[in-house]
Amino acid sequence: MAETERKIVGRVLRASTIGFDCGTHSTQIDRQHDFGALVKAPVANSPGLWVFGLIFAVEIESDELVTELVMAEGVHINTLLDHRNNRMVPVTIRVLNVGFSDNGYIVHSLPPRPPLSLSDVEPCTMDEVRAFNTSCDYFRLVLNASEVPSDDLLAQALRYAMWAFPQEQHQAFMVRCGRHISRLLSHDLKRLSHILTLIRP
Amino acid sequence: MTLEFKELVPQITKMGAMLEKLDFDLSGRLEKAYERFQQASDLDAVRERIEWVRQSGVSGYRGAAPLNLPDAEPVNLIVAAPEPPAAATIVAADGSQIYPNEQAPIHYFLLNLGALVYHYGSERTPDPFTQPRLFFHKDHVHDKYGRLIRNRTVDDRRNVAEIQFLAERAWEYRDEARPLVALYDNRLMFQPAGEHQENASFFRQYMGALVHLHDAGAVLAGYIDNPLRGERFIRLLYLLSLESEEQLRETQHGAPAGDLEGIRDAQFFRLILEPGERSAVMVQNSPRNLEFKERGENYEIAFFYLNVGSAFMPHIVRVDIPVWVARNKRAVNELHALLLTQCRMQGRSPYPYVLTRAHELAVVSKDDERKLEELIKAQLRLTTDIPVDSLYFSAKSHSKFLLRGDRRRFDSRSVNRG
Repeated sequence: MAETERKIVGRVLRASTIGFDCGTHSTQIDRQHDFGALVKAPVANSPGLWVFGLIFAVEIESDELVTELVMAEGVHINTLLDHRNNRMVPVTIRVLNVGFSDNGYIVHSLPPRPPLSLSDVEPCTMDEVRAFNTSCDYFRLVLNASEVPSDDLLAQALRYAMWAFPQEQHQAFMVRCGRHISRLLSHDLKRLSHILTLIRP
Repeated sequence: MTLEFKELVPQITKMGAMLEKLDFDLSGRLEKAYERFQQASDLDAVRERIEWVRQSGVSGYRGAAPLNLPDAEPVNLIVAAPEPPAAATIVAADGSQIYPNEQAPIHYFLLNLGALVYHYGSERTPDPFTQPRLFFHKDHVHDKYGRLIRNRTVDDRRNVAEIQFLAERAWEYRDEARPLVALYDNRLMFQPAGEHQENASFFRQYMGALVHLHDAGAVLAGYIDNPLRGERFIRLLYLLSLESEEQLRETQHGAPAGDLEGIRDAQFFRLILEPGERSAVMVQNSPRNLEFKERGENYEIAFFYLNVGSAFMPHIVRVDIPVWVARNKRAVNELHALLLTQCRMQGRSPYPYVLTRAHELAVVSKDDERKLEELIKAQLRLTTDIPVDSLYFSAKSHSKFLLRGDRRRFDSRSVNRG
């Protein structure tokens, strides 16, 4: 994709090795900001080193004017357009780190350092999603994440990743992932059952 | 150290006890005012009394008067909410400032203007405008004695800049849907507070902007959201109670609202006007308004009161309009209806949406102020040998900054994980 056409998910607002938040304008929100999408951001001062993460929350901030507008009998279309196109409606996208890539070599573990503020956060290409999902080692990071809807996040990430594979491989991919999750959650059958229901093709 | 509330509580109790003993009961005076209001339909009688107060021997009447037009409205007229026009272009402008700082090594001030153009009746994104302007030349920041200009002078400059910005936007949009309503978030009767020569210059510029708005065919309105102190209409009701010129001369040095003193226009109209209703269009009898009128009949400032609130919570505002708008019944009706439409957009806070947004576009936050100061410092470091950091450093201010517990320099919030 040409540089001019490249769309970014947002820019990093704050980051740690565990995850990062990025911000964007409300007009830019589209499918690449979906819950469970795999995104990447460059690690500070390290060419070739990228952090991979899963979007686990998309937050739209309120302000006092919005609070008043929702109390009105109806919101006029022009007001809506003004709010969406002209006003500073910050959207925060929260990302959980699940791996990194060092000059193309993918590791399913926390990155050595976080991306710096204002770094571009990009959506992963289908090739990258496929490469990242050739093994299931990052599942443990997701399942152990606290204060993150980890079961739904993992299920959604897998449904998202499934489309990076040819259609005839969808079933096999999901079965392989389901088996791996079964091993990780063999001690918690309720949770396992819930996730398997969510990823059933 | 926080405020010691345990010391304050007994003082507040004392304050409450004092207030209880004061007479807040205005119902008797309001009833009297209402009776006079009901009887005030004879426009000739009203005009006769206005003639009395305009004589050279009588002074001090700053009350309301009917318009000097053949089809002037009776002063006790109440107009229900009209239907809004199918389409309109509504322009609003507002301004904000950073005042000059006497203690700063470099003197400057900033005016930031904001405007929004709202295309009522067509599905279009409103057009926002902003215009920041930094004043740093000595002719702008110092007076003729070399002293730093006062904040009130900055306010006057801002008021003039706001109306000019509004006029420019109105002119740009003169070919869009009509009516072209131009909203100004202040009273229209501009009164600069500086020295005579400077005031005259500001007034000339202000009048120039009014002429520009008139040329654009704009329905100009000054919106006063909180006319709490105003008693111009109550003064008229008092005047109407006087039987003769002699009685007027005898009482002219007493309280301006006579036996109705203490009632404010907003209190009175809160009882009189139902939601959406407006009062009659009138003018204020004052030397200042005469100055506007002397620039041209069209530039005298008229006004009406409007209830933009609900049955549960009435909210009385004053709307100033120039006579070129007041003489056009259709324009007044359209303005009346569009103001209500705009106010209803904001639910519990009935205030025109365009003005809210113009203000939002114009406002300079404390954060912006700090960033601007940093930019100026950076520029000084680049282009001069001035020891910027030591000149700007104030141990007292820095200590205050460090003590502000609710403001953190860095937000170290991390992703939620244990």
